[in-house]
Amino acid sequence: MALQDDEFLARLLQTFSEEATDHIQTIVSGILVLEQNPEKNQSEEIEPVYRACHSLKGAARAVGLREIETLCQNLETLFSVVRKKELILQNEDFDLIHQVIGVLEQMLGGNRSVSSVTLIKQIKEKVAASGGPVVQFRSVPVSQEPEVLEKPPSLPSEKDIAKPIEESDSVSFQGITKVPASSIRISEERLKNLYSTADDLLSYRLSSGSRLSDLKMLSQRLQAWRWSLNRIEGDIALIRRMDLQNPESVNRVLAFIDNTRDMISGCETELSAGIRTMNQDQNEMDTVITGLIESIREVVLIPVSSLTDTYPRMIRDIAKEQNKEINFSVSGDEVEIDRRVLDIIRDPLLHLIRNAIDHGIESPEKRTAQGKNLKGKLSVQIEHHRANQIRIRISDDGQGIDPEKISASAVSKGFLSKDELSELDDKEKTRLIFKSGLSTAQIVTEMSGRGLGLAIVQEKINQVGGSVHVTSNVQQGTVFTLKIPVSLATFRGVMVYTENRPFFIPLKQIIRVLNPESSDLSTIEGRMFISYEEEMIPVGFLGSILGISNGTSDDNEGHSLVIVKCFNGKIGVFVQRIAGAEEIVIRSLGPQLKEVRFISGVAILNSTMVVPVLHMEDVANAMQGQMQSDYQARETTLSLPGKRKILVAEDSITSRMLIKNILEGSGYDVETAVDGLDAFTKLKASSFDLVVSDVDMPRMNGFILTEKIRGEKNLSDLPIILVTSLDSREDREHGIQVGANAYIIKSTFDQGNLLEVIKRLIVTGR
Amino acid sequence: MNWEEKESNVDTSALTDYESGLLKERAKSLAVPFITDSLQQNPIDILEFFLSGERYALPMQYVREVTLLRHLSPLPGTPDFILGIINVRGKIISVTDLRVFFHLPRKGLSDYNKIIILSGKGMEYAVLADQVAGVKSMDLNLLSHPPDILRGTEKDFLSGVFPGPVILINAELLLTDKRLIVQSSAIRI
Repeated sequence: MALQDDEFLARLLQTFSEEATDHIQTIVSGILVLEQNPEKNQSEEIEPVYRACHSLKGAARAVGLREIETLCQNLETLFSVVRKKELILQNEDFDLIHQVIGVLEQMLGGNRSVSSVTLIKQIKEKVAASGGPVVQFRSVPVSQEPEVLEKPPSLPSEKDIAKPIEESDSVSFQGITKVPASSIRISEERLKNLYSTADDLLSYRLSSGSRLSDLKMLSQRLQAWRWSLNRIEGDIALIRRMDLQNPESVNRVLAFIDNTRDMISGCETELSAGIRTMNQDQNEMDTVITGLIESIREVVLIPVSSLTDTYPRMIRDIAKEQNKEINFSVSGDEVEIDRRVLDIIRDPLLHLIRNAIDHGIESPEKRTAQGKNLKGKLSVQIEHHRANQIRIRISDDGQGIDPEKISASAVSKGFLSKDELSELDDKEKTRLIFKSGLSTAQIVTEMSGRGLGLAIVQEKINQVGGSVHVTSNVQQGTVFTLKIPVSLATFRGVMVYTENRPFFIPLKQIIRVLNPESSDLSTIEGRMFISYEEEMIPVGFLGSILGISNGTSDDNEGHSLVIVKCFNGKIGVFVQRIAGAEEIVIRSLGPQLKEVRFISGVAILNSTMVVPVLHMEDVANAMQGQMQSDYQARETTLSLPGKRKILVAEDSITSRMLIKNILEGSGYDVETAVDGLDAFTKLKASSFDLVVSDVDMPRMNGFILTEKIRGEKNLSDLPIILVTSLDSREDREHGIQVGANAYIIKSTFDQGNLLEVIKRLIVTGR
Repeated sequence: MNWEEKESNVDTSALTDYESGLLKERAKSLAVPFITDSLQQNPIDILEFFLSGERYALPMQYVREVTLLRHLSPLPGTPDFILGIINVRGKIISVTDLRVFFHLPRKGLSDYNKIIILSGKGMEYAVLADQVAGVKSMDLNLLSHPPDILRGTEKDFLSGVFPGPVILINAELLLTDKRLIVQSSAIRI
C-alpha cells in the first residue's frame, strides 16, 4: 500500500508541476504586458494573472506544498490590491514579482533550500503601504498564516482566509482535478503509438485498394469465360439433338456442363455483388482513414507559441543581468509544428537568442554613442515557408558579426590557413562561426562564448532535417534563418517495381493507387491525363520518365497507377507492380553522387538490397517539362485492357494494307512489319497481343518467325495466326507443329473469319 | 609504409586460387628486391589491374580496398560513367567505369569484375577493374610521359607509363576532378 501511495503521490506531483508551469507562464506573460505597457489599466489587466495565482495556490495546497501555497497566497493578495485599484505596480514592484516567480520556479524544481521569508515580508510591506482598511484587515490573517499552515489543514480556517478574495471569483477550489476545459494532456508515448498506427493504416488503405483491383480482374476473366461459353452453346444444343450411340455418357457430360454453368454463374453474381459493396466500403474507409490521419497529424502539432511564450521573461532576465535593454517581439507564433521537432529545436533557438543578447546587442551606452536606439531590437519571426516547412528568423540590430574577426579567430585556432582564408568572401567567412571551437566573444560568460554553441545548433537543426543560415552586417545586426520541417515522422516508403527494378516512393506523398482502364485516360495535346476526383492529373510511365524503359514492358502483371502529391500538384505514374510499404532509413548516395536527378537517396533492405528512393518532385518536373510523344501516349493507352495491339507481318504491301485496314476498323491497334525479321525485332522492342503473319516472306518466313517467337521466354504464349496461300495439309501441319495458333488460307480469306479467330485468341489466349 | 594495414585492406577472398597463387609467387619474387628497394630512387607502391585487356595501375596511397563487385544497383538519372551503387558493409559506394574516360570498349559486366575502392581528398568511390594483378613497388624515375596521341580525359587522368607497359592513373585528380562528381543541374523545388 505504501508503495502505491508513493506512486500516487509521485504522479500527483507530476501532474501538479505540469499545471503549475502553465499557471506561472500565465502570470509571467501577464506581468510582462503590464510592465511594458504602463498606460494599460492595471486593475483590469491583472485579472488573468490574479486567477492563475489563485489556481496555483489551490493546486499547491492540494498536493501539500505549503511553501508554494504561502508564497502564492501573498502574491495573490498583492494582485488583489492591484485589482481593487488600491495600488499601481511600479518598476520595483515588477522586480519583486519576478523575484517571487523565480523562487516559485525553484521550489517547483524541487529546490528546498530557497527561502521565501524575505520576499513574503516585502510583499506584505508593499500591500500595507498601499493603505486602506481592507488591506490592513487582510494583512492580519496573512501574517498568521505560517502558524495556521503548520497545523493539519482545517477547511473552515482556510475558507476564511480565502473568502474575501474569492467573492468575485467563480473558480472554486478544485485542487489537481482542475484542468483547462479545452485541452487535455496526453503522454508522448501514447501519442507516438497513435501516430505510427495511423501510418500503418495508410499502407493498409493502399493494399486494400490493390486487392479490390485483383477482384475486378477476376471478374473480367469470368466475363471472358462467359463469352467463350456463349460461343459453344450452339454446339451443346447440337449435341443434345444428335442421335448418339451412347447417349448415357453424353447426357452425363451435358448435365455436368449445365451444373458448371449454373455454379460459375452463381459465383459470378456473388462476385460482382461483392465487388460493388467492397467498392462502397473502400470509398467510405478511404474518407474515414484520411480524416483520421489528418486529425492525428494535427494532434501532434502544437503552436510554436508554446515555446516562445517563455522567451519574454527569459530575455528580460538575461538583459537585466547584462544591463542591456531589449525590445523583444514575436510574430507568427501561432504556426503549428510537430512537438517532437519543437523539442529538438528548443535548445538551439534558446542558444541563438542568448547569443543575440550576449554578443549581438551592445550596451546602452555604446548604442547611444553609435546613434542607435537605446533599446536593442530582438525579434523572432515564424512563418510557413512551403509545404511541411517553416522558417524562423531571429534578428537583432546589434553589432553584427565581423567577418575579419571571425576569420582571424579561425586562423589563430588553426581551422584554416591564410591561403585558404584569402579564397573566402565575407559571406563564407561569416559562415565560419558554425565551426566548433570558434568564439569571438572577448569574455567567456556563463551563457556563451565557449565556441561550441553554434556547431551544436547546426547539428541539432540538421538532425531534424532543417538548415540554418546566417547573414550579418557589421554594426547593423545579424539574422539567423532556420528552415525547419513541420513534422518529423519515420520515413515510410512504398516499394514499386518498374522495368523489373525496385524503387521507393515516399508513402506520405501517395494519395491513391488505381487500376485504370484505357477509357479513364485522355490525351490533351499529346499529354496523358486521368480524371481523378474531378481533377485532371498528368500521367506517365515511371520507367520511361526515369529513362530506363527498354521497350519490352511486360503487361501481364497489369499496371498500377500511383497518384502522388507533389509540391506543384498531383501526378500519376504507372508502375509494373506495388510490393508493399516499408519503414526505411534513407542514406545518401556517397560523396561522388552529390545530387542525382530523380533520386533523393537509397534504402538498404535485408542488409544487401539497395533500393533507390525517388524524388517525386523531379519526376513531376520531368513529366511537365517533357512533351510526351504521341507514340508514348498511345503505347500506354494500349498496354491497358481495352485496346489490343496486333503486329501484322506481310511482304506484300497490298495484303499488308488490307489486313491493317480490316483490323483497325475493328478497333485494334496495328503495327506492320515487312518480313519475319522485321516482325521479330518489333516484337522484342514493344509488346503485342497477337501476331498475324504471312508464311512466304523474304529473310525470315512465317514458320521460322513462329518458331523464334515460341523460343522466346516472354513471348512463348503470344497468339500467332498464319495467313498463307500455301494450301496443303503438310504446310498446315508444319504451321501447327512450330506453334501457330491458327492457320488461315488466303484463297478462303474471309474478313469475318479472321476477326472471329483474333477475338477468340485474344480473349482466351492471354 | 604500414604493410600490414595495406595488406589487410586487400580482400584476398575476392581472388581466385590461381590469382592468389600468382600473388604469392609475385610476393616471393618481390621479397628479394626489398633490399634493392633502397636502390630505387623514387619508389611508389601501386596496385596493378586490367581494364579491357590493358594494364593500369593506381597509387596504393589512394586505394582503400579491393573487393568483388556484388549486387550492383544501377541508378537512373546518372551519367554514363556511373555504373550504379553498391553496399559495402552498410556503406553506399558509387561505382565508376573508367573505361568511359579512357575510351576503352565496354564489354559489359563479367564474373571476374572486381572493384577498387579509392579514398582520399574527402572523396570516396569505387572503380571497376576486370582483374586485379597485385601490389608492387615501382621507381617513379622510370615513369615516362603518356603518348602524345592521347587527347582529352584520356590524357588528363594519366600520370604516365611504366615499362611493361603499365599505365599509371592520376588518382589524386580522379578523386578531385569535378567531371567525376555528379551534381545534377535539375532545378529542385
